Parts: sequence; C-alpha cells; structure tokens
Amino acid sequence: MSTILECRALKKRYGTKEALCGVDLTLETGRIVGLLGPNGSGKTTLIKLACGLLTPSGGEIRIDGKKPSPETNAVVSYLPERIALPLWMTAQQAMDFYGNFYADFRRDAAEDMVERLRLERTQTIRAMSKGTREKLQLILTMARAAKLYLLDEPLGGVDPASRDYILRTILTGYREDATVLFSTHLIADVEAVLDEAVFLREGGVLLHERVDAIREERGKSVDQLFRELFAY
Amino acid sequence: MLVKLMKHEFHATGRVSLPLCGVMLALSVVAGMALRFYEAIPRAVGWIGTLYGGSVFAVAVGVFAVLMQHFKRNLLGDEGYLMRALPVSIHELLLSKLFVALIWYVAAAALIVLSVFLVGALSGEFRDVSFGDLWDALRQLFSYRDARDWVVLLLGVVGALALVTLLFYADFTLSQSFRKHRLLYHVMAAVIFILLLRLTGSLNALIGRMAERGADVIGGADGPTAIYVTGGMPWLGLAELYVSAAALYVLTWAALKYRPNLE
Repeated sequence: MSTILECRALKKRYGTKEALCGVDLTLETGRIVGLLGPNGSGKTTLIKLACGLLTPSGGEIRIDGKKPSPETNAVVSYLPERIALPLWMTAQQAMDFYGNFYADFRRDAAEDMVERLRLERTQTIRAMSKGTREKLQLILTMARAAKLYLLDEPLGGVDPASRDYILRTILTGYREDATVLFSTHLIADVEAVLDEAVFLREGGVLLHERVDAIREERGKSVDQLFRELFAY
Repeated sequence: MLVKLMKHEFHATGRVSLPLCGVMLALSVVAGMALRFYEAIPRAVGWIGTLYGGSVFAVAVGVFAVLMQHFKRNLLGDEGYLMRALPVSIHELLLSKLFVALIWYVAAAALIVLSVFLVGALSGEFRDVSFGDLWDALRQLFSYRDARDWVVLLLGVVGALALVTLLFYADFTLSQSFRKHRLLYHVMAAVIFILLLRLTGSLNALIGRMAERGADVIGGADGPTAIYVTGGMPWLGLAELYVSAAALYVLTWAALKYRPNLE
C-alpha cells in the first residue's frame, strides 16, 4: 500500500477564522474513509484543498505525492456538496462532458447506473428533482476509474431507498487500489462500508482510527463514538 | 484540452446567442420584404422595422451579456466546482473563454452587417448599386493604406475587444474574491481599472505629442506624418493596449488561482 493523500500541518484561514489549524493526515490506497465531524469542523475545506479549489494558508497537502494541480485532478474524482453540473445539460450531455475531459471515465458504467436508477438521458438537469440531480452527479463521479474519490456529503439529498444502491455503487464501482474519502452526517448508514474514520473538530484531527479497532478495542460503533465525542 | 474547452464554451454560449442571431436574420428578411410595401402599409412596416432594429440591438448587447454571465456562472458560481476540478490549468480555462468571446464578437458583427445587407437587397434599395463599383470602392479603400496599416487596425480591434472583455473578467473575479461587500468592491475595481486605462491612454497621448514635437523639430511639417507612416505611433498605442490587456489577464488569473472564492 502507498500513500494517496498526505497533509502536513495543513492550515486554512478565511479572514480571521481558522477553518483548518495544522491538520496532519495520511491516507493509504485501497481504503474507504469516513470524514466525520459536526458542521464547521473543516470537512468541506479539507476536501476543497485536496482538489485545488482552495489554496492552503500554511502547511502542505499532497495527492499521490504531488501538490494539487491539473495533473492530480486527472486522478481525483470529486463530488461537490452542491450541484455543479450546468443546468442546461441533459444527462447524456453530462456524460459526454465527463467522457471528453476525463480519460478514466467509464461510459458503460455510467450508462448502466443511469439505467438502474431510472434517470432519463434526455431530461435537462434543470428539469430534474434535487435528489435526481445528486444521483446523476454521483454517478458521473463514481463512473471514473480514479485513484482518489473525494465525496462531499454524497447522501445528503438522496432518498433512503436509493441510498443503499448508491452505497453499493460506491463500494463496487471503484478500482480496488483506489481510496474513497467521504464526508457525511449519516454515520449509521455508512458505518458498515467504512475501513477508517477520521474525526475532525474545530479544524483539527481529533481521531483517525480503523473502524475495526473502534468496534473491537473500544466496544463501540462509529455512530456511538461520534455522539460521545461531539456531545453538547 | 484548450480545443475541448472552447467547444464546451461554444455549446454553452451558443444556446442563447445563436437563436438571437437567427431571429435577427429572420427579421431582416421580413423587414427587407416589407419595405417593398412601405407606401401601402407604412405603419406595419414601421413596426417591423422597429422589431428588426430591436433584434440588432439584442444581438449586439445579448452576445456580450451571455458571455459575461457565462463567465461568472462557469468559473465563479456553482459550475466552478465542476470546471475548476477538471484536469486543465486556469490559463486554459481563461484563454478558452477569451478566444470564444472574440470569435463571438466578430461573428455577431459579421451577422449584423449581413442582416443590413439582406434588408437592402430584399427591399430593392440596392437596385441601382453596381457591384462592380462597390468592389472598386473597396479595392480603393484597401489600397489607400499599406498592408501594415491594416495589420495595425486589425490588431487594434482585437486588442480593444480583448481589453474590454478582460476588464469585466478581472472586475468580476477580484470582487468575487472578497467575502463581504462584493458590490462595493465590484464598483471600486471598475473605477480603478478605468482610471488606470485613462492614465495609460494619457501617457500614450503625451508620449505621442512629445514625439510629434520632436519630429517637427527634426523633420519639419512632415514630421508627424513620417512617424505615423513609419509605424511609430500606432505601435505605441497597440503596445499600450496589449500591455493593459495582459495586466488584466494576469490579475484575473492570480485572483482565480490564489483567492478562489466560489459561491
């Protein structure tokens, strides 16, 4: 196993507010990692830094040994927390777009997922419901054979019935040597698929542990541990 | 990747701009035909003429507005999360937008000229125009100045269009990079840019006057003409135009790279 994501003393400030304050984190290849924490703990900031949407205020972040750049974007598949697809596009055009720009886009896998989730290829994104838009965006993200998947709240607006399918898609749809890092509040739903959990609090890593260890050594579920760590 | 990005830009902006141009051309045909019946139905022809005039205005303003709105939404709005995560550099993103904008300006101008020509031809107003004479007049126009003057003119038009486009890009991007009071920064950036451009324009004029005086002293009455013909003054103006455009480009690029602040 090798390192796919590495943060060293990573800092990010927005004006006077420190969103990340010296994060040290290393993720190996072939893992499914949950990025967990309450609102404002720095989950989205960390993901945005990893795909070059933000520049660090201090420290460094490396993807596959390189600083975030167009080169690393080619191996990172990013799912933003909001709908970023142009609303005028149809599902078909969105797949064409991904196929054009990403060499690792698997058109057949995307078509298959579109079929299974019963999305209309010719419907514009503007005409889709919020949940359907999120499904399409997730399909496009997971249909890439990337080395690192960064999923920011992938299950937020999706109905519980589709959630299982999407989790299965996340589990089965990616390369075995790839790493999936996703932030979510729906810990109970994702717990079964996680290999590791990273707990963030106030811009720092509070805990980074294997899920097996949390269960066996602490005798708790990830959800229970989360509630304990972040109890008010 | 630049070509792929440009294709995407054409697709995204053409959705609105192409129908606008289509409507203008269709109205020019209708207006041209209607003008033949002006004496019989003057009021109706007047309305058609107004509609056609409105469509020309809509193309001139609409094409520009679509390009600017697309820039904002595509790089600074929600779509920025998609575009900025692509395996392309910020230079490629910016240049694709700039090149496509320049092509659209030229295409819109050409279509407006074509539509005027259509109105004239279909209304019968060109009945007495000899195309041989028109061609001769054009040839005369082109032979009046040498090739270098036309190159200067072409570069000047392209540079000016690029400058205006980049002025808006820089203004949008810089004001967006602030979290609060964006409208205030928006206005401030616009005022500062315009003042700087006026300043460089004044400097250019000053240098020009000094050069004219120098030439007057050196070459007598033929001095300024001599400078113009040898290309001294226009090249200075062009240099000013392109340096200003380059400065705005670098500002936009730096704001996108170092102060990205997506909505």
